[in-house]
Amino acid sequence: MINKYYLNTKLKSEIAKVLTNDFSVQLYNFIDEKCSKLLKKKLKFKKVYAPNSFSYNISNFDNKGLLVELTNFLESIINKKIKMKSAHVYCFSAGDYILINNDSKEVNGIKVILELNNYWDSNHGGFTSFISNNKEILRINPVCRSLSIILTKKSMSSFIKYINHHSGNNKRYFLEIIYGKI
Amino acid sequence: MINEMYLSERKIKSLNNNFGSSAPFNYLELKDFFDDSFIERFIIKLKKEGFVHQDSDLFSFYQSNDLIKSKNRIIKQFYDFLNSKYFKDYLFKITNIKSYGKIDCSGFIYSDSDYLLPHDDRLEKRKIAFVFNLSKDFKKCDGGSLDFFKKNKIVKSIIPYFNTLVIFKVVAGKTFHQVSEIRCNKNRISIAGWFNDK
Repeated sequence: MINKYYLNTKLKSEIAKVLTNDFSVQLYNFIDEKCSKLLKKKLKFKKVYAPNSFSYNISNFDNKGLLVELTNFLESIINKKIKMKSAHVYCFSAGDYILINNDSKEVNGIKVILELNNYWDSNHGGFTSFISNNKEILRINPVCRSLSIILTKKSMSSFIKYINHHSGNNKRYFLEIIYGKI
Repeated sequence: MINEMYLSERKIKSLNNNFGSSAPFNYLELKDFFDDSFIERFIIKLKKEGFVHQDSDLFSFYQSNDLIKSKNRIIKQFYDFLNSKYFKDYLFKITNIKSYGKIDCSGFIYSDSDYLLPHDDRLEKRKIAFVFNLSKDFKKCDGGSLDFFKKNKIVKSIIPYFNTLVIFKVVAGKTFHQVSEIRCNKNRISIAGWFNDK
């Protein structure tokens, strides 16, 4: 499912360098349109809502084929074995958000965000923002079908920007995988 | 400066009853609260204050400096009135809440797709929150309502009518409220802040 372009060993070592220097990297066109549509099938979403904390839909993700492929890809980049802690698909539509709170704290590990959208306008909001010491240190814009790899720390928190009414019926879908200590 | 109809002993008693019995928490919506001609002049001057876009996980809007810093005579006059012992005494009469500290008070402009998500204003000194609406022609479908929550549900929505002062008691962990997203090309202009304890 992964774009073969990213399987090149030289490129992988370049990705590793960027990840080490910038603690994050975003890989465009990581999957194709067909794959992004396929991955959204058969998901069972549940609405979670606590007004002063979050509003979104979430589904378990158990496509073992893709999870193994992604884990192998990551391990080949960081040159270490890693252990997956969770994998969920999130769906954010107009009016949804995640605020910074105690539950939005990161862990020491790796967060992987695979965008499953084939269309997104950045004016709709919905980006993921990482905060440390009350400052934004990283913003992940939902670039369609991109993969973001972020080396996270306990000192970081994240939020998802409120999605405004201009998004209409468009929704931000993404697969989020969390790996524990590297 | 206050509309005379709000000053009679009878009205004050009725407001006090309404404040005490309102739900989901203590609030009052006071329509046509100030003298109209003063407010018209006030808006013109307020729009000349520097508004800066503020953006975070919780909100997106334009905010002025605290009005205490304004050099404009009419804005100072309004600020001084809100911060006066006379007005704080009046608030005490209608709410039974003492809030004799210095007020916090800024101008806000919410334009298309701006919002303030649910929160409870928790800070120890804040006793009464207020929003004074200065926009005209807002309808329910335009957004910009001040919404009050009970548990996870909006149980009261206040449309921002012109010259309407909304006050509510601040209780940490209880008085959850939001400003709903603006869904039109109108600007929701308001003065908002807190009456604080000393």
